[in-house]
Amino acid sequence: MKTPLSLTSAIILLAIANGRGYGFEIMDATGLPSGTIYPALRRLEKARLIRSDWESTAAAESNGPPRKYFRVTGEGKSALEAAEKRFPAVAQLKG
Amino acid sequence: MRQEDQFAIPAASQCLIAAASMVVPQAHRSAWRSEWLWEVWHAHADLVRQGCPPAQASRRVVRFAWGALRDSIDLRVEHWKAGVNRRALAREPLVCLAALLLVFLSLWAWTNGFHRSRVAAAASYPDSQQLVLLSRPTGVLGLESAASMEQVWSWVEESKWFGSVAGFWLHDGTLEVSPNFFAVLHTDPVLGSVRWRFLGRPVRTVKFLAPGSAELFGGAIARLKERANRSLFETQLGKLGNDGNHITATFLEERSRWPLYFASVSALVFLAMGVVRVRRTALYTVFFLAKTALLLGSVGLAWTEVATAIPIPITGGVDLGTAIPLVFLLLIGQAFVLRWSHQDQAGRCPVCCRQVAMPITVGSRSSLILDRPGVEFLCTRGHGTLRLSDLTACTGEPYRWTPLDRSWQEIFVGEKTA
Repeated sequence: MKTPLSLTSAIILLAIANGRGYGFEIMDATGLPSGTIYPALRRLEKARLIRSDWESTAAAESNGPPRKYFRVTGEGKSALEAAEKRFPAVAQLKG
Repeated sequence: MRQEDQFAIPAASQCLIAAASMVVPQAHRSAWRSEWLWEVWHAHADLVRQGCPPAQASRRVVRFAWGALRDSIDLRVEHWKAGVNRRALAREPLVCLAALLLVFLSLWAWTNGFHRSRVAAAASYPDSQQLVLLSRPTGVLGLESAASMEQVWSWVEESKWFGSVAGFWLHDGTLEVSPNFFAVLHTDPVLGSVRWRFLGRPVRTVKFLAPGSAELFGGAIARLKERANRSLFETQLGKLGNDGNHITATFLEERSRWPLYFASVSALVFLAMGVVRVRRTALYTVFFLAKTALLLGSVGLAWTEVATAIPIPITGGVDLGTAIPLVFLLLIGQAFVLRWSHQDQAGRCPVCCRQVAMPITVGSRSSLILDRPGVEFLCTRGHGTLRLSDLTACTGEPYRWTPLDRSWQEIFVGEKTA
């Protein structure tokens, strides 16, 4: 059985599910500091709840260095649903 | 203006990320650093594009970059948890120092903060800087011979330094004293308290001897005259004495600290002996000194705790059965830890101080001159090899270190099994 998500991880996962694709944007949306966001993103990715992809080279060339985008996986969606049941506040944020 | 110039990463953020990257495991360092620098670049660019004033954008980006520090620590901890190899960890010099520090702190907790040592070290009498202990050493193991009150008085009369003098005899927790003893000491005894000690020994009962009695005293305490010049007195300490018997006079506050002095001096002697043999890099020497100081400090303080509980040698009688084993216990304890410290040091890389590993048999027993048999160890970071010869001769060192060139170090980067 997997360890249930913490509230912070659930909020970050929700932000990604809502289309906030990269670190700074997630930080803006959640109000959490960068020192919380980035370790959490790494753990979520390790747990396969999110996936990261680097921006395509062409886009990167026009917009500066490449950027890492995150998206929620199937497992991540299930985990988020479980977290919404566990944390009603997360469900309210989604609504 | 080029886009790179417009959204350049503030220098403070770059410094923060560079500093934080030192915490990140080497195998991930470069990628982690690039990723954070790019994130900061984008964060800065986003803020400028949103119309944020450049100064404010820079400040926000610096705050953003602080997160790199926490991220780097998190990554380091994660790396330890995931890939920790206990054997490799045990070879780390910091782990060795941490373990020794733990031993020291455990001793500290066990002895209630080296309580006895501190009690022995403290000058517990008022105006103790003027108190002098007079005794007649026999010259054997600190033994002191007894003296009659008349003799004690003659010491005083002979000297222009003393204002008052009192005799005492200390044995088995009983302090036999002349009636003026506590007047000279400027204090009253708090009997039964572990804190009330005389010459480092707890006093349970006090017995006053009648003036003029024929009792002998083990020693005497004297108080210097108010105007007596202490430094001048110190220079003339050796001139005391009459009827051919040498009398020693030591300041009481110093006398009470003798276990600490003894432990410290012997520890320093051992340490100096070790330093002479260490001829490597600064890190190697510092590590050896720190490790040995912690070990000798632990042994010395633990011994002082024991010695002050069973005090030796002391005016008023010495229990040789206790004194001799205790002194040897300290010397043997210190010699033992120093030997261990040397052996441990000899098996470490002189560059990074990690213990060497991966032993292989080298040499040939049929070629004792050109290719001596022995065991060769390798530094787990590729700094060099340490050859331990099976046969030692007066011409060769038992341990021979051979440095390797930098190309070897690349092989061991991120090596977890090492």
